[in-house]
Amino acid sequence: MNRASIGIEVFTSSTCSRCQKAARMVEQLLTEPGFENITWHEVDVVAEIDHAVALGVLATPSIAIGGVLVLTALPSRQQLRGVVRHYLDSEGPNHAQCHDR
Amino acid sequence: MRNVTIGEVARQLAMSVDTLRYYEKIGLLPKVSRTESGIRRYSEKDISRLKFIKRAQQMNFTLAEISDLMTMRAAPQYARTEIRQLTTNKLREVELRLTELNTLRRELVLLVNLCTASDDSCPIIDRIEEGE
Repeated sequence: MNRASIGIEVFTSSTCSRCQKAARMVEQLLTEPGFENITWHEVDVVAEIDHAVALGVLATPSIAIGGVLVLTALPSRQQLRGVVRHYLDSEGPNHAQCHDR
Repeated sequence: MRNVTIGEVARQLAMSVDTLRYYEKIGLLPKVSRTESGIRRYSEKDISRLKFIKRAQQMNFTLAEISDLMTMRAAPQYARTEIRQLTTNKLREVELRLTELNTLRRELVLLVNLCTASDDSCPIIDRIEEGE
């Protein structure tokens, strides 16, 4: 996957029991109407620790949108939807990309 | 507050008595007051200066640089241009170091949190092994 096209990043680790739940939740949300234009990407914090630390990730799961850390724990579906909706309203779906690194 | 002996200062600041005597000898520390029998008695101000010297040394400043910084510390309004410049440069070094330390702190917090959440493997060990 092209990093430049990533909109949402889900920061996970192999030892975190809630991480896959967070990833599936994001994946599922992006199939809903209005969210289809956003892409997502899973980031292993141990493999990409410099990037994770640069964004301020201190625990997993964490979620960043457009290169900004927005959730630092497993959110509820409603919470996740609200944060992504807020991002879309403020930036627009064409801006749902993180900075290339 | 009462003045203290060289032994107490050495213990308090984890410095040797020889180092304390040396700093006084080279003028890094102004002459310490003595009792009638010649025993050094360090004042609060002396201890404050020594703490500053120690912190500056931990930042790898040379004794000559520290001496200049001490001049600035004693009378900042009268410091010469080059000492002001040195102090400004050192301030930048300290700020850069702080940024690096803060990044390191965040990385360590993340690793400790990952380890705490882990039942069977520790990402800290995994990362160390990756680096080998």
